[in-house]
Amino acid sequence: MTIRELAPQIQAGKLSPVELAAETFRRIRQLNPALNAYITVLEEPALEQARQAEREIRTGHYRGPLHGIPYAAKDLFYTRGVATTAGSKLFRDFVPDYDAAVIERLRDAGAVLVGKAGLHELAYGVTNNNPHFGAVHNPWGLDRIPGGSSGGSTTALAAGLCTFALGSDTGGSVRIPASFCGVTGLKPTFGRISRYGVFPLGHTLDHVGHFGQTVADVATILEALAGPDPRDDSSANEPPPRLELPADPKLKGVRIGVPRSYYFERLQPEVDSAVKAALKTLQGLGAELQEIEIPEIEDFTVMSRLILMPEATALHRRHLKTRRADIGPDVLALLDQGQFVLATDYLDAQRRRRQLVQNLAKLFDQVRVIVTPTTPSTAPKIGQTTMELGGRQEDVRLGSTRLVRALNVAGVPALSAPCGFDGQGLPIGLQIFGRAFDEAGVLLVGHAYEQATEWHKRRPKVNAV
Amino acid sequence: MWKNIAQALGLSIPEQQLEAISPVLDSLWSQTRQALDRDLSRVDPALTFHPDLGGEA
Repeated sequence: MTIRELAPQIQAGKLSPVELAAETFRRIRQLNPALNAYITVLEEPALEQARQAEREIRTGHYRGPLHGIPYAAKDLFYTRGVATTAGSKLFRDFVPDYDAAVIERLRDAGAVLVGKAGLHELAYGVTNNNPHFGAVHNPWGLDRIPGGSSGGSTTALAAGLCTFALGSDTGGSVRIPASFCGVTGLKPTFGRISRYGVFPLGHTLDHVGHFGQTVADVATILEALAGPDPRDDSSANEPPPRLELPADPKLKGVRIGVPRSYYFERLQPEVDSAVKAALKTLQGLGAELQEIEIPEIEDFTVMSRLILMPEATALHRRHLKTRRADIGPDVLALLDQGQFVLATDYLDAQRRRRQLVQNLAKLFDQVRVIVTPTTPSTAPKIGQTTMELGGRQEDVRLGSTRLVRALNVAGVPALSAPCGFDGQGLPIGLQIFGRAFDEAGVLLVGHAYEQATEWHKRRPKVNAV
Repeated sequence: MWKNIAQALGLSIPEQQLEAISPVLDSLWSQTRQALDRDLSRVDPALTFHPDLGGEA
């Protein structure tokens, strides 16, 4: 069930947060051995939180729609007294002595943390094939990757092992797993949610994001997480957005940009047709589709790599000298590559970034949001390194990030919502992005689409091992 | 080229691993030269320094 379905029942005392948590742990015990969604399960502390929520609600102290709702946090959010590994052997025994800002906010909202979800090592990759904690399996096909790096979070959510989840997105790490696992994921505007107490990867690209079963749930979570935080230098001085999503949304007068070139090239045919069908649905809701061209879009991807590689390597340079053997081969290769980027190229990439972002911003004078596929394919198999798209072999990592990473460079809000399934029953994601701090526009279009379709209601059937 | 640079910088990357990443570095180098071949001197890189934020060292 969704947050919006559960919350009124919890508030009315018809549903016990303790029973809800207990049911979540029953599913975790049953299904997590097959999925490996969690690195750490927090049954006792969560049940205590749930009991506290129940006491508070019974005595008239209802905190709001997240009170008593079970959630998962990607295992790079600091949790006081609970191991926070970043999916890395380097931090296997790291136990923070404080909570991340978002963990604090969710605790204040009364949400119940049920576990720390698996991720790609150091959040630096898209497969979640983690050499230290094992591969996370996609609930729609256990031989498939969930996408990453927040794949444990989306696997847990899709399989019903939590009601919502936290993730982070440096080059697509919220939107890729949302697409591959058939859930809704939001990467808000850079600075919208505090990164205090979050393991960094790329300081100028990292975003905290989150997942829900519906766009309305994602909006509810955003209202709880957003807002300024003086402890995070990148935190924007923007108040939390007020997101009122109508029950019967219409898109009359909303202009939607469709960038035919780049974003609709080299797609799995079923992805292409699902996204085009989604555009027709949006048009049917009253939206006006406008073909657009995102200026110099390919340069965004180059800048993304030029910026991320040295930022990530700088963070882990010490480990490259002292603990190489404790880093998995794919992440080690990326960290090594970052040692060869010139400082002048990094700075010019930041300059070029500014030009590109200014050009992108001008597009939002013409259209409210832009709609594209999230990923060019559905979830590849675990261990697969290349995929054929448009008659060309493409690296899984570069292919999966091709349509998403520009938006980390741009810092604009971007949503991925389910928009169909391929012939093998694997989910397809629709990406909707908008002007900086216009989460309201992105969520309105996503919500309208969702109200007109049923894709988000499908759930995977997972067998226990 | 990358082998010489790695040696000069004292980067302790085993030869086999260096060989594996060299094609990626070649490709990125070529894309970088093309993408950054323009006058950016009047664009602020937007990296900020706040002298009032000492913080932890």
